[in-house]
Amino acid sequence: MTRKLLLLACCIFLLAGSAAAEAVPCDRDGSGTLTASELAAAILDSLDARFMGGTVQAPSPDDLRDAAFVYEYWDGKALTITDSSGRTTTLTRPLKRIAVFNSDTVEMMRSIGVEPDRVVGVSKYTLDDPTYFPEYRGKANLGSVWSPDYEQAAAVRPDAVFLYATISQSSCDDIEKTLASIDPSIRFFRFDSYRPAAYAVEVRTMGLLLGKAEGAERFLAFHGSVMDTVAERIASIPTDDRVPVYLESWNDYKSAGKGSGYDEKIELAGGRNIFSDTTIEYPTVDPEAVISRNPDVIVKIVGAGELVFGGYGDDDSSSFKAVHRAIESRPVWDQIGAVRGGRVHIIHSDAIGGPEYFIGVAYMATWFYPDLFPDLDPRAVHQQYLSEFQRLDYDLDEHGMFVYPYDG
Amino acid sequence: MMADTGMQEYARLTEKRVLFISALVLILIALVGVAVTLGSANLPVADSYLAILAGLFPGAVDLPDRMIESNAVGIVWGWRLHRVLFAIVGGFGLAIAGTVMQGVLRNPLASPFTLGIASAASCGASIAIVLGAGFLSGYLVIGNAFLFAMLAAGAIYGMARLKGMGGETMILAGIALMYLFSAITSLLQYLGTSEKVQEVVFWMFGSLDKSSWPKLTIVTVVVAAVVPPLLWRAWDLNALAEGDEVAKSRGVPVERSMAGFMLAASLVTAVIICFTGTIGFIGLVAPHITRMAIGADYRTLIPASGLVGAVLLLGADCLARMVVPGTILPVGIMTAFLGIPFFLYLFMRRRDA
Amino acid sequence: MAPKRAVLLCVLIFLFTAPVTAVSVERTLTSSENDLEVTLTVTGIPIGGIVETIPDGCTWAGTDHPDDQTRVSGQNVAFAVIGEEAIRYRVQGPSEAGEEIAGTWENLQTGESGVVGSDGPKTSGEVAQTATPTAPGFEWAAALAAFAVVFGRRCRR
Repeated sequence: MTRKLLLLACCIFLLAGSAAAEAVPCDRDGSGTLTASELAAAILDSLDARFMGGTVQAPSPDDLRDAAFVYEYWDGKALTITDSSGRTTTLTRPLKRIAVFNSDTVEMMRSIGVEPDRVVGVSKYTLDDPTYFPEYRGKANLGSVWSPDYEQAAAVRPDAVFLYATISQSSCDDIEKTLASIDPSIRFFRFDSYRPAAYAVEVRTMGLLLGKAEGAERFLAFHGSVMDTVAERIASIPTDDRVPVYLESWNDYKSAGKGSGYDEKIELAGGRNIFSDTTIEYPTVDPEAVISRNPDVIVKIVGAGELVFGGYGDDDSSSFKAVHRAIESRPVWDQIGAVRGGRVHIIHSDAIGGPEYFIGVAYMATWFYPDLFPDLDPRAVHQQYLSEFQRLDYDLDEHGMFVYPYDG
Repeated sequence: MMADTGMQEYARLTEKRVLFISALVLILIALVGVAVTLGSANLPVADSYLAILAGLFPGAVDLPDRMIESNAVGIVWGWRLHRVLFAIVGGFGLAIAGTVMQGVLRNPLASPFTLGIASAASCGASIAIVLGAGFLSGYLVIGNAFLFAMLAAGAIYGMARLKGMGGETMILAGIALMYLFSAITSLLQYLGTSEKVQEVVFWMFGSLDKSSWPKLTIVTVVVAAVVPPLLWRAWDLNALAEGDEVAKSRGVPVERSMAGFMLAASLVTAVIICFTGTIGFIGLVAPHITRMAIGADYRTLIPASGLVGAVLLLGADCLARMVVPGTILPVGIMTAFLGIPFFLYLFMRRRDA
Repeated sequence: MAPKRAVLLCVLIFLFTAPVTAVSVERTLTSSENDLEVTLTVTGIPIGGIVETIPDGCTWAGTDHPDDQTRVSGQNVAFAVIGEEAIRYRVQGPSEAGEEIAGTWENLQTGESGVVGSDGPKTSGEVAQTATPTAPGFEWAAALAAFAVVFGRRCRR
């Protein structure tokens, strides 16, 4: 009974407020397509009423601006879009107040040129990183996907909420159900924004959704210049000749098994993960197994757990050096090819995880096959990503610690 | 002469009970009044009450513009109100389950979780979260948590029937189950990715964040269905408290009663914690407080401790929402903290014989 | 590293200047005999509107802008801009009157508006953030009181 009352209440003041029209704005003949002449008529009516003393029924400024957007970016028609969870949504108006729970999605939006004004709420992880997200400092704090702040999310009156697609699905489902019962007009979109396999599709979909198709293509050209180049050059290497790699995360001896993100990235860079036969996603491996499998390259990831240093807020290489030395001095590990050949590399999780994964792939490709990639400069790629696409005033020569050893 | 003082004492006791229960009801109403105004949306107090009225009588109330802008009605009816009511019903249910458990096990430190139900529910939730496997698709976590909790209850019942239905048997079986399910949960946490582990941990804290009107309805229906029969049978609990032989001599079917009470308490507990995660201490502390205030007659102890439980859980939730501005602490953490002064008090009161 | 940085700098300069061109509408006049030909050059407005006010003494003489995108009303003429970069129209009247033509433009993508002929927008579009009113400290007092009562009851023996 109370649920019906709630729905009734919402309907009543949805009607009392501005009309939440499902039709394309300013589509006079209701054909579903906003033609140039319909748009022109709407513009002229509005100008007439405001500047020429006309008495015509003019569209509201919001309707007019929405119509301009739909005409410019969606060919005058309603947009039907499928997000990464397979859900299809139809929109007739642009999204103007976006709440994003996933900081990787915020980063991807920034890459394609979405203005910070359109984002009204971000997760606490975005707010906890003012070095990387300075322009989002004043936005509402939505909490996290596992512990969301529904009141803040409701208070900013978003028209769209962005969540993860493939992780924490039950938490995301709960957020959707609760927010929908507070405000049924909110639309929900699920994008991961960090999975390599879905990356290009997600960038394009978001570009279309937010009227930034051009920015999306420009970014994908940049992304492709790295990933396609790497893919082309390693394609000729037969599987047996691929460089054996041992990857260790920030916990000692915790490696990556089949199906994990790191395993995928090693493969994208042309390497062969020596533990890719393990079905556990993040197995704790036996140090002796590493010795017996004898990798040619060791990649160690820092930036979380006990090894929380480096990244954008840190300029000091000494902690990286200490980790490097610790690995090389592990008992009997000097027998491993990687240690003997001086091919132990430390990389920060920010450069290999999340939407910046392709920078990590670029680094790994140059480590695995330095002869194949003499012209690929991962540091320059990283800098271009930061300056051009993330619009950050951050100079990698002066700040930040992402890889060790690095010989400029 | 003796009869007179006896009746006088009984009258005083009855008066104390009436006062106690009335005071609880008043506190509860006051807490509800406060709880609906709390929240980081910072709605003015009057707006919250106006929103409740507007939801109850839509169209009859003229909402000021600022309330339409802030969507006060949506926030109060879509988020705050059902949470507050859930705290009341949940606290009521957990406290009653705890009271019954303490009666059946004849142990004033027993709780609904003594028989391993919390560990079982956590295990079920972990399986759903980490492995994505469960019984009710679409409601994996909730379904698993409930079913595993009832599985534990069934296992206790089975083991007790095998070895004889005694308090000690049940507690031993409960401890064994607790270790089993905890081990499985730990293994799952080891195997899981960091996001999944985080989800499991958050689930185990116990929170009212996931409440909703449909869930509230389910819990209310179950509690409303279980509590009246419990009250009807409350005298049996009084008898059981005296001991098995005494109870048998009074004509109480001991084995059947204990099983029935235990299953009823487990059902109420399971249906609450499958939605909220494991919220501890309410089932332990509420009956204890009530017993100290109005004595151990289960006919009044059960409803009164239910009210105390409701007050405790709602109060804890209010605190959880206020203590760190901008964040909502999981209510299970708050109730755990509330347990501390309680146990300290018990400790201070002890006078070793 | 230095040559690469120089290249990077050039690329950045080029890329940054390209999209951030000045948004404006400029008016240029050419007079012949009794006719004034006015050309409005539109930069950075893919969809918008322009209203021009012709001084008294001049009469409207037509335009090559599409009919359904033009509306004349008295001394005012409104143009709907949909992708055009130049709008030409003719006015009959003395050439000095050309200086007195006034106009405003609107960019419907960004919400900016301005005066024809001056540099840059006059007003910029804004996204209004709903202001949330702060609540008095009622909750604290009431909650503490409630809590005190509960505790008071428990400690009484």
